Amino acid sequence: MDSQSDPVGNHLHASPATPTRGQAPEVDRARYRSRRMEGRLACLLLTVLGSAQEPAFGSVDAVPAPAESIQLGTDLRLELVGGDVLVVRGAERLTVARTAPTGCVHAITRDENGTVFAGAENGLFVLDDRHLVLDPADVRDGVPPGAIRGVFADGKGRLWLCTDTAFAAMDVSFCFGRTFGAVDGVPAPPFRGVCDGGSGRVLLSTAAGVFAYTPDRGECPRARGGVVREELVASTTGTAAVRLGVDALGGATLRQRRRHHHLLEPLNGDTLRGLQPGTHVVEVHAVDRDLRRQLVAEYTVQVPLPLMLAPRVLPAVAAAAALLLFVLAFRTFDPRASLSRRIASSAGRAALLGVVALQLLAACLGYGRAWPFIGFSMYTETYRENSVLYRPHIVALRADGSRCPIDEAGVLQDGSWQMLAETLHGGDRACCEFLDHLDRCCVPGEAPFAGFLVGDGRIRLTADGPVDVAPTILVRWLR
Amino acid sequence: MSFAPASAWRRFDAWFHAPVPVERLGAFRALVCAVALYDVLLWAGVVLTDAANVSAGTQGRPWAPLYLFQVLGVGPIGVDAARALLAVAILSLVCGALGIASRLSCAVGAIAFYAWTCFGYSFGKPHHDKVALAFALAALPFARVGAAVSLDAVLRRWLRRRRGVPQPEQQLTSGMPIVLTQVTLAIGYCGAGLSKVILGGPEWFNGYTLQGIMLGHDAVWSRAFAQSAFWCQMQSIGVVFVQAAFPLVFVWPRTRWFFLPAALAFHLMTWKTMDTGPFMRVWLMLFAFVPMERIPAALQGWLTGGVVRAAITVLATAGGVALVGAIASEVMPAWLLLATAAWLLFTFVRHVVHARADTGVGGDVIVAEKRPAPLRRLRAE
Repeated sequence: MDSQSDPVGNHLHASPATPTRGQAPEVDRARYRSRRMEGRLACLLLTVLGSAQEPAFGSVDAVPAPAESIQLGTDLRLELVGGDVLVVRGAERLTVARTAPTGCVHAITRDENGTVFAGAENGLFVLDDRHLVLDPADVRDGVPPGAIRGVFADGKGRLWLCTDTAFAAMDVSFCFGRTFGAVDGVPAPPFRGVCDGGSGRVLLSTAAGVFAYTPDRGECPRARGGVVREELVASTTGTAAVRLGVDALGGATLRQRRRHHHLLEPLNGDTLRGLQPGTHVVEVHAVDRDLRRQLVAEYTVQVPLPLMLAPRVLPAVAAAAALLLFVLAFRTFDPRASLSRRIASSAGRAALLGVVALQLLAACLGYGRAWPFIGFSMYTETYRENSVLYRPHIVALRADGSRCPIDEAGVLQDGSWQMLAETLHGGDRACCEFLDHLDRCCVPGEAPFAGFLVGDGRIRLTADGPVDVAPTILVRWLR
Repeated sequence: MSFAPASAWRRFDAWFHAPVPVERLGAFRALVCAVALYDVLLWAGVVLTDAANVSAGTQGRPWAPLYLFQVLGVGPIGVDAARALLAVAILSLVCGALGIASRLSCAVGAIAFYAWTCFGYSFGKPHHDKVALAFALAALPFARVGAAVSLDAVLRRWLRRRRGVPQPEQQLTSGMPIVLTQVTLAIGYCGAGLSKVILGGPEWFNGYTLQGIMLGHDAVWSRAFAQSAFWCQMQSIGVVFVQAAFPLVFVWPRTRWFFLPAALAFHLMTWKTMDTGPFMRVWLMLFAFVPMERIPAALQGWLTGGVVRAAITVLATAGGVALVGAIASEVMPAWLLLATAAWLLFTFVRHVVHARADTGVGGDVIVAEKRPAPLRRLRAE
């Protein structure tokens, strides 16, 4: 089934194959709508038939109580009491600090990386044992907005959560999610909470009862015909059309990642977007409703420069301008001077003026790769109160359980993610290589490294000053 | 052709080719070549690593050629070619700094420097910290850069003496490389300041933006300087003012006493609060605004102008030399740095010995006169 995703990450089943370039757009659109409708109907039918045989959500009777206490350390505990989160350290019980109002906290859970998520009236919040401050969690597309009624981390990098009207899964590393729809067989709202049902099940409480959902059934997402590897030429605006056929449980949502970048951006429609001039390797990952992810395509995309910067156009225009300047300079030079002196001096004038003019032009255009004629867009980003700063960090995990922050580890180039991103997405082999690399940083005589953790450190800018808050853990790998 | 363009061209020539003493241009050449040599050595590890990856066929940093390489169709090079290029760059820049076949060595050094930089940047991101250096180096071969402060000049003087030809008294020459460097620096600072105003807008001055930039580029002083949004707001205004108003140094030369130290302080602060690196390749180029041939006389004047002034002069000079030495020692051998320091000290002592009658003129050292005043003043002298 071909699949698309809408802007909030909900899957659109059975979208048509992408029209090939050269077809009339109106014909493509009509065919697209028609096939989309057919696909939706077919999918609905399949879902209904499927659910008749094996319902995605089954009714259950016994409901375990959601977690109301989380042990963070030998002498450190979090308790959920009356909609408030308390930090209990020995006999001391304090309300946890916040960088933003949470409202009533309905549920707390801890994932396998030690990050505690709190579902609250004002959304999802995070903290950990090193940052005992409740801070709004990073949430990207696909996670439902509004008050979180229940939240449960399943230990597989996923968070299951519900609001009054939506049930969703969220990837704790990349912070995107997927909201279940009626087509997934989700029971009717209002929802009351989510908790661990044991045996890998997720229990969803609704007004009508409690339902169990068992994720990860069936195959992972996969591209029909194997992983697509193609070369594409994008438009000068940085977009390139792709066509993919992908099978995935509940329909696939597609996400794109540029090599050396770590984020998985949603792929809206059938178009890769946001590519700067140059050559890029873009991976497309398919994600099913349980957030299982699989590489389905790898495109080498050539994005040409805008016409005015094209290597055949700009030098020609510059040469013409230089010639014009030279002629102007030559004609206004002292006619009594010798010809060779007139030529040399005029060429010098034209070159000097051209260099200064190009510097000014580059400053206005802001195209960085024309060094030494270079624009000035650095440090022009803005932050405001409550903005979050991200700072990638690497922590080596020793065999004795201790941690060792690694400063750069020789992997940082112009940006941390340029090298780290491939470790995050390269699987066990890349992680193993990275750990071998980290081993060189290990001081002889100390416990050897057994794994590593790559996190995106976060600092919240508040009116009272910057506050370090719980980082997003992107990968935690043990040999 | 009408009169106006001819007049405009004459003014343009008068501006860019304003005469300067050959000693100033020679000192500038030595400085530019030395800084370029430092840069080439600084990037050697990165470029050679990339080249080794190319030779070995292993995956390294992604190749994204600079526009110049795109136009010329240049691809990545292997480690042998990179080593050869490095050798050419070092040799030519050393010759340029010493003033051996000055114009030729500067020309070869400029080509090698551009190629070296383009290979480094094509495997990563281009940066701003050596734009002025690049233009300065490219302009050197087009001026009489070997007329003084060079072995070429020593050789010429020796030959004249041997032939019994009298030595010229005071030579002036076009200071085009210096002016081009000044203009490039001014465009750089002003562009950086204005881009914050135009692209960042009023929000750039809310304090949180500078706080975010500092903390996002974690450095040793980031936390201390980013604690207060209000203090960051004040710093934002100060930074953008210094950058955007930097071109005032052309219209009101006395402001150099403010803008040059302010720019230096700005770079040192960004180094410690934003982890930008020392940016030494930029702030050493600020010497383009300083009549360098007058530095020994100015130092002499300040050192004999009272205890406080002398103490400040000693501290500032020693601090500056120590700072440059410490930064350069990352890639340059200690003996080379010590030899350079000894040569500078020798130059100063020789000046004191030969010009005892010269009294304090320190107050004028940094203020470049309104063009083409140097010519007038020197003629009057």
